[in-house]
Amino acid sequence: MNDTTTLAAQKQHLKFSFRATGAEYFRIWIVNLSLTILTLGIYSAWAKVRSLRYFYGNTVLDGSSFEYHASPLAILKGRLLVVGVYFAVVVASQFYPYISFILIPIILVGLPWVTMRARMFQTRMSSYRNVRFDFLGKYKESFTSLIGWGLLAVVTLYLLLPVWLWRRVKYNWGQAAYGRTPMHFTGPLKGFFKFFFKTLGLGLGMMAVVAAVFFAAKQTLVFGSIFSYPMIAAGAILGLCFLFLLLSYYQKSLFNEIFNHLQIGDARLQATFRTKKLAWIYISNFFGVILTFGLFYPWAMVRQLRYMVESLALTTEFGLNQFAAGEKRHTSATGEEVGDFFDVDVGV
Amino acid sequence: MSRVISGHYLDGDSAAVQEAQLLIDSGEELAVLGIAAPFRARLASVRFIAPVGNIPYRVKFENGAVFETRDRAAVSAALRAVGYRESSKIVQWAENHWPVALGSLLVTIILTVGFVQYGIPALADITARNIPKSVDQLLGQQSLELLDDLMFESSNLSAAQQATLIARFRAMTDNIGDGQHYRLQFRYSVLLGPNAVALPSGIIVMTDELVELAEHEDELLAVLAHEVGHVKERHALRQLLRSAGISALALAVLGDASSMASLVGFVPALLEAQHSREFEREADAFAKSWLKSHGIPSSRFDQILCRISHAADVLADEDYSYFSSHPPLAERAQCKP
Repeated sequence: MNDTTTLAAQKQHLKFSFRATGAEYFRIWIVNLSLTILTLGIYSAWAKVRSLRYFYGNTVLDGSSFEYHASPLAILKGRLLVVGVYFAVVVASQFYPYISFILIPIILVGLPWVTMRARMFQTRMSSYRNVRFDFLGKYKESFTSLIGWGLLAVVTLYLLLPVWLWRRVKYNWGQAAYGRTPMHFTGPLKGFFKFFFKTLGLGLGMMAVVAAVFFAAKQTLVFGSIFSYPMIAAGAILGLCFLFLLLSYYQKSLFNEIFNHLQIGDARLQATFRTKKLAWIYISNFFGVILTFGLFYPWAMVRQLRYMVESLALTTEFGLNQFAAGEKRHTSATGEEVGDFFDVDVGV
Repeated sequence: MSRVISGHYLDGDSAAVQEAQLLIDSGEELAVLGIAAPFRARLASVRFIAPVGNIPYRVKFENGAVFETRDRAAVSAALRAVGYRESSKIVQWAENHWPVALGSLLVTIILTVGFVQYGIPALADITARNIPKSVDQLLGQQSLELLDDLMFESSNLSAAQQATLIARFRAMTDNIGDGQHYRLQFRYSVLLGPNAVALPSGIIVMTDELVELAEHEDELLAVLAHEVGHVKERHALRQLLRSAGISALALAVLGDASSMASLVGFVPALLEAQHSREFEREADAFAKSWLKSHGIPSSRFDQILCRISHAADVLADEDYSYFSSHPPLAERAQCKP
């Protein structure tokens, strides 16, 4: 793979940077959103491609940016198919409420395929320095990791959920490739168990705090009910902040676990996600979007993505020029759209 | 004016970057210079990939190689200078201009509000009118079985009591002639308490508790008329169609923002409540007009409604009206203190 005799070793530490701005993305977002509504949703496929092209094109590593290649028509085709199936199911379940029992085996068999195709589409439609990413995962592995380990996790009262998550990460990241160079995920299972149960403990701790505050308030409030508006609002905001904190701890741990154990050839990724920073971004974005009736959305999106991108770095001995492109392949957008639409974002 | 544009050449075989220059020197051809193997290509064989926002301008060659530059103005200027027409990029132009973006914002707000308030309900109701009544039957086919499993037990009312009410109910529904198959059934339900439910198939279920709560038979007829109003106006089907329309709109608007979708997920629920209140008003209007045409004072309707509310000891409706499925009691009926 690496011809060490011709490539001079020059250890490089490269940081990812993000150059998108909220103001610029606001214009892109609102123009495309109005076109989407004017065309009764048809244009949404073009809008998606423009957004992703903008974000990929602003993700920079070693002076070069990433590129998103999907054709809007492929995405539109996938979406129409998904919308058709979705409404067929919705209408059918109105007439026959028990139809879900027939659908379960179909979903169990189909979901691993859908997630696999979605991953293929995501990777193959992305490139860096004109070399495409790829995904080499097979259906069988998708099925065993997603359904097999998923069912085992359920049967063991979710004690084995970390194993399921670890398998999914191994599948989605360990089977990816950059050009002809396969990626390797070397993260130990132990790490997943650790952060998973820490998250669980943190969640239980927060619930205890909320319960304590609730009872304390109930004791001290002589006048007026605990169910008065200000109390309910304060409780909801506190609960929401706790939820974002919990989500941030989980995501930070997961992202660090994934990217600190991901290798592409001799290149290694480093991730430095932090709970506090992530939680602050989520909480401020949430209230920003709510208080501006959605207008803050583009800035929120750019802030979130900037933090995610700029928390990543890469070290390589031989530089990035070593990576060779693979053969050119195509895959349909339906897989990814199915994943997007039903919001089964199991691809972590 | 120099037409040499500096940028990077990416051959597509590896991730190696080469500093390079692009020279557009005629309306027919361009050249890539400064690399180990400089070459020329016909303009017609090259794809000019216009950037979104500030991302690099990419020129893609037939063999998959790419020249990219951050100086996108230079590419456009050079192409213009040699008389080559870039394909028109209206969206890109709009995205780069604040006044257009703000105009789009206005269009978005007006269209969204218009669609949600008027467009979708109107479209849904037109669609409903073109759907045969047999669909309503299908819609509610298994609902009663489901409700029997979930919240109903068999009625304790005497056969005579049931027969009297069924006879009055028949008299009410026989002359409607809208193709619906109206039936009245009785159930006991701790969960629902004094209440009545209309299923789209035309089955109306009245609870024992409601019969006990009523002080006059006309009060029960008022409730039945309200429920018949729901079936006659096909509220279940229309609600289904409206929800589907709003889901489709939400999907179109938020499809690209799945991470944010959960944030606004309560909007359809909010609208569903709004539609539900509209339907309740329609059913109330039907009940009151039926009472009037049969010489029954509409105070019967008010009295039973007040008593149901009192019995259910509901939270003050006014406070929660944006989320509640029924209009506030004060609007529907005048209760005596």
